[in-house]
Formats: sequence, C-alpha cells, structure tokens
Amino acid sequence: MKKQLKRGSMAGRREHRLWLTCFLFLLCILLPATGSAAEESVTARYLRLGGSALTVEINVGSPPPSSLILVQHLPPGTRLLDSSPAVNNVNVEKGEAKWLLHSIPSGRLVVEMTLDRPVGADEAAAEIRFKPLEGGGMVIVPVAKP
Amino acid sequence: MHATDEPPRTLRMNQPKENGNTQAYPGAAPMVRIDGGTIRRLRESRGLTQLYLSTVVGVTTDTISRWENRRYQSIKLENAEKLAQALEIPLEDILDKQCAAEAPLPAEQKAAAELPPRGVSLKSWLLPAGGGIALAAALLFLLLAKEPPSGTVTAERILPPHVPPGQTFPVLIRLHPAGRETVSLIIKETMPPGCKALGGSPAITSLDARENTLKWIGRTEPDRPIHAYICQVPAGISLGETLFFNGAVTMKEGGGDQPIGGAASLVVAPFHWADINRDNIIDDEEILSVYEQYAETEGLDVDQDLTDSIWAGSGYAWDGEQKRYLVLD
Repeated sequence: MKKQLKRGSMAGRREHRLWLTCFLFLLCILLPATGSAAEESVTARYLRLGGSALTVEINVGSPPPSSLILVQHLPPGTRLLDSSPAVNNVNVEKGEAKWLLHSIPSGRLVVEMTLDRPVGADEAAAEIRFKPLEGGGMVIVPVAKP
Repeated sequence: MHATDEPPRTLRMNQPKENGNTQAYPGAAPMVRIDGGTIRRLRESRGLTQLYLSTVVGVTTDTISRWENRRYQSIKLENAEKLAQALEIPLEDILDKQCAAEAPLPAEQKAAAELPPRGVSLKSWLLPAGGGIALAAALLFLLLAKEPPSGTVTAERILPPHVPPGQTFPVLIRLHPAGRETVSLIIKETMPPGCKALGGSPAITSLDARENTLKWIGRTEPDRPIHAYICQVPAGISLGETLFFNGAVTMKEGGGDQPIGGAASLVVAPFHWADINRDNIIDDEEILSVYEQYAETEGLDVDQDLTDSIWAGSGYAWDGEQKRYLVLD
C-alpha cells in the first residue's frame, strides 16, 4: 500500500515536472514577442524637485522612439519663467506645461525649468508620453520622484 | 497627477484603469477569429483608411493590413470590439461566421477541459509534450508562412482619412520586400483627377500630368522602405467628395505587377489631415503618430511647423473662404 502511494506521488511529481517544462518552453518562445522591452525603453526621474527650479532626467533606450512628450503638472496659476529646452505648450490655468522632443538620440536628456514661485514636491508630477516603435497605443511613463 | 511615493509604472492608454492603477485582466486575453476580407470590404465601403482604423484600435497600419489580408485570424476580443466600433457595425459582422456559431469557452474552463485526467500516466505526459511540439510546429509554420516568395515586393499605401479643399497632405507607400536581396522596381501611382504631386522622398523619377501619374524607378533599399510624396487637393473640390488612389509595383526580375495595397481613398472634409478624430484639436497621440509615421521620410515637407503649432495651441478652425487653417491660441 505504502509502495503504491509512493509510486503514485512520484508519478504525480513527474507529471508536474513535465507541465513545468512545457510551461517554461512556451514562456521562452512567447516572451521575446511581447512589447514590455519597448515600454521600458524610456524612463524618467526628477533630479531636482521642490522649490522654484525643477529638473527632469529622461533616459531613452535604443532604438529611440521618433518623438516624446514631457508633461509637467503644476499647481494651477504657476508660471514658467524659463526652461531648457524651450517649452512648447503652457496652460497656466490648468497648471500644465508640455515639451515635444523629436529627433531624439538614445541616452540621457535633461529638462530644466524655473517657476515663478516655489512648488512643493507633492504639488508637482510629470509624465512622459510616447509611441513604442513596434506600434500600439500611446504609452505613459510617470516621472519618478526622489 | 500621480501618487508621490509610487515607483514608476507604465500605463497603456487602452488598458482599463481604476484609481489611476493598471488593472490586469485575470487569465489570458479572450481571442476571436475575424474575417479579414469582410473588414477590408466594410472599411473601403465607408471610405475609411487603414491609418484611421489603426489609430482607433491602437495598432499599427501594418497590423490592420495583416488582419485584412489573412482571411481568418485570431485577434484580441478587445481589439475586435474597437474595430467593430470604428466600422460602426456589430461585432458579429466581422467575426468568422463558422467560429461565431460556436459558443466561446472561458479561458479557465478551456484550460481545465484540456487538463489530462489524473492517474493515466502515459496520457499525462503525452498530452503536454504533444501540445508543446504542436505549438512549436505551428509557430514555425507561421514564421515560414509569413515570408512571400523571395524577390517579390508588396506595397502598402498609407493615407490620412481626410483633407480640406486646396490643402496638401502626405502619401506614404511602404515597401515590403520578401527577401534580403535588392529588387529593381518601378512604383507607379495614379492620383485622383485634379490632384498635384508637390515633391517626393526619394525624388520622383517622372511625372505625367496628362495621366496624373508619378513614378519612382529604382531598387529596394533595406534602410529606406518608404516612398512618399506630398499631394495637393484641388481648391475647387466640394466637401464630402471621395478621392481614389491606385498604383502598382512592377518588378524587373519577374514577379509581375503587384497592386499597391492599403488605403485607397480619402474624403474631402474641413479637418486637418493629422486630426484623425476630427475634434479640431491635434492631441498628444495624434502628434506622436505624425512623428512616428513620417520620421522615415527625409526631405518631405509635411508642414510639420503648422501641425506642431496646432498641437501647441488650443486647436484650429478651417476657414472655408480663405481655404486655410486658423490656429487657435
């Protein structure tokens, strides 16, 4: 009886191992086809946050997307005094500034901005919008806070 | 706005969101089989372009073309629903009729039904192993089936869905060579009556004003799959008219003429060609699509400054009298 039970549990284990092998095999075939790599091809973080000067660092993977948009959310009424590169679209009432960056190389991009008043770290947030090269809808990547 | 202490995450616009977080669907995404021929027929009868459908569904024009060119293909239910919505028809109308008759099985039930019975040891390892081999064989077949005969080139036209009278817009012809070797070819494109080609990338080899055709004579280049030109619509054309394009690729080394597939018509309407959803705004997704589509067309004047300024402003209006766009601050 014990032997039978042992044989049964060994057969079960072998069965599980086979299923696991098949699963890993399928995973190896299907994983390269997913678009997750492209979604991670652009990352961004604040190098400076809090106060009247903000700096965003954008890291662009290879190959780079043809263009990307940085959207900076600020408290409504906040004005942008200066920025590098120049801002493309500012909506003071909405508290939103946008940079359209195109012909971008792979690597590091830095966007610096000066505001007319200090802004707390919890009052500001930003995101990157781009379209992955392999197609699909627009991807939004939040800018990480320190 | 995003929570301050959250790690960076990526969100796709077309995924369901709840309180700003992406919610993954449990289990595998449900799939349906669509009828490509029906989709193409419906799209063309409605005067819609592949670019329009690709923008609505959130896939590339290549994907739409693939869906249309294979008779029956499995796609995500979510994409099929968007496709039906874009074509303004019920989902059932674009489904493969044979498969639509069968009741779909939920993914969990299907998986459970496929599990081998316990205690039958031979079956227990034959089934998964056989399944794995069958899947690998199917994938190999798909990879091989993708390749048309070497030395042939297929071409796909990409058009905006609409353009106002008298305005210019870009026309892209994307070449898909079957093999890696270069192929000598002639691309011949016939524009709608009254339309004018204002420049091409690469430069247009010949223009025939009488037949309103343009030609490129050259070879396929792996790093230059796109041929493009700027087309101007006649100023006197009426709103609502449909303009039809046709063309073919002729290969020197056999292969014969291949008609240019993809979009074949657009509608004259008081909207900028990049304003796909006709809301008088060029939004972030639309401006990113413009850069994505036209990044490979060097030297082509797609009036990017105007498109950028409409995006940067609060929208635009079409001045029908002056035949120009008014950019709103």
